[in-house]
Amino acid sequence: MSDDGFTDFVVEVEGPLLRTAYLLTGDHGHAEDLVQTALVKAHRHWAKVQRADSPLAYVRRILVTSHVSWRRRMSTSEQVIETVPDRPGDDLQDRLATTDLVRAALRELSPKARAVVVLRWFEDLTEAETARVLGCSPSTVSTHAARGLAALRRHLDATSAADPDTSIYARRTS
Amino acid sequence: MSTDVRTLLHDLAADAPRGRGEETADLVVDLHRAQDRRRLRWAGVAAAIAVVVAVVPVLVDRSGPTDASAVAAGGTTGVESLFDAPTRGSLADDADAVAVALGASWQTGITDAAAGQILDPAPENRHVAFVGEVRGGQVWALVLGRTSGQLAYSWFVDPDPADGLALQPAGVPSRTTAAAPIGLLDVAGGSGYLVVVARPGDQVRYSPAVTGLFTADTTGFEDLPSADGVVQTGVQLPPAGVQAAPGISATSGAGEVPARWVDSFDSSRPFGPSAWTSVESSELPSDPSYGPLIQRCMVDAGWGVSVSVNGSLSFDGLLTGEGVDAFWADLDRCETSTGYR
Repeated sequence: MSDDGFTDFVVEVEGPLLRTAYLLTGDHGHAEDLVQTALVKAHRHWAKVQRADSPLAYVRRILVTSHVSWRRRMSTSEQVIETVPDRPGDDLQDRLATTDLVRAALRELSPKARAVVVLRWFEDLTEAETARVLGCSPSTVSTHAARGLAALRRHLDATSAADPDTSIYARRTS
Repeated sequence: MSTDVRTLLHDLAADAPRGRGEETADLVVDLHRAQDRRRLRWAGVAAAIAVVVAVVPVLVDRSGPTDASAVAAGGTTGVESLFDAPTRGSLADDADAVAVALGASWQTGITDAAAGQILDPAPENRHVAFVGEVRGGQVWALVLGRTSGQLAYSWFVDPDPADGLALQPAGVPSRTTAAAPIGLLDVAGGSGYLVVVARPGDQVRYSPAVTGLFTADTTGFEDLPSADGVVQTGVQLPPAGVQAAPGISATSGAGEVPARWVDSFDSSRPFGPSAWTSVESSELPSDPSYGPLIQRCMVDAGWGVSVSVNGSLSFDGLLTGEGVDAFWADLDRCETSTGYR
């Protein structure tokens, strides 16, 4: 198979895909693996990907369904969770604490609910678009979205109550 | 709340790993060319375990207490990466054994296994994390390596080292990360025997039946007796009929490294170029007729494929490398004949 623009495509979309994958997995290594898996599948059907209205959307769909599916979660010898990466500078500590809370809250969600939250409020997809990506009905998306938001709220509120100093709301308004 | 979530998600996404661009593209192309399949060792192993457990309803530790004495003393706590941890195991001080482990081939012999071909660090970039005697007089070794910007590992086994140590790969080399514990499980005879190598000072935890990796639920995980971050012990295997697989995690002063699967093999079976393998097509359910059409064609070709929840076709079973190639050849033919290719 010739490259046929695949390298340029990867250079263009790897960053956005990694960000989505990172939100879905909460882990650098696994995010890279997930993107790698999606890109291998895309390469296998590269001609079809190129014909898609949005090749990025096509590959993102592969990525999300790969994550949600049981098979992806069973595959992994490569699935490893890391701790929060070290970052230099005390001025970043607040942001790190906040993002760690969000990461922990996302982990409380089921893979599908997490995918819905990420697609709806990170990718800014509509309910219908999210439903198409996940292969489910818009009403299912709506249900997952409501439950996901409620679960996030519960988790963040509980964390704030347990440790007011780490309140996510306090940090964002300070 | 929705606005907050949007902002918070973007904040978190800013911590995502940076892409490697052309290097990633090259890696992906290599992976595809090397092996257009995906090995799901544990999916198959779980099935094998289910059969075993059907015969042995209650699996207990038959290997006796943890052989902590076999774990070499030494090592220090606070090591950031397993790669930098000292070699452990009863043969850690045996220079010849360490040299054999360092020089063992990472090629699995399972066709051109993607991971095996890609994850083959140069000997100078390898480190023996563990080499020692385990149950039944076998010698196991865990070797880590750095290659293509990735940290990888490979388990090696010599089931009968009496005639000189000759280590063979116990699985396909895989990626890992610095803090992750790495385990190998022998399921021979339906009696699980587990070795886990973690960073010195880490407490290893184990669950025989993990169904997901990305939840905070660690129900069922229990501490394993360990010495210097190394576990050598008999363990329970998953109960019959449960689609789950054994998982390990580790805790340290920095927190918990959540679960990952352990690798496995069956030391009672001949080593060779075959393994439980799962292959799946990459098609997605954009066209609902794809699955049934291709499934019919593949069944006619002799493949008992199923349609996964995400719409892709899959086959789980004992496949040689040639079998995997045959699967993809038939899938290509079916996709062509039905107009999908």
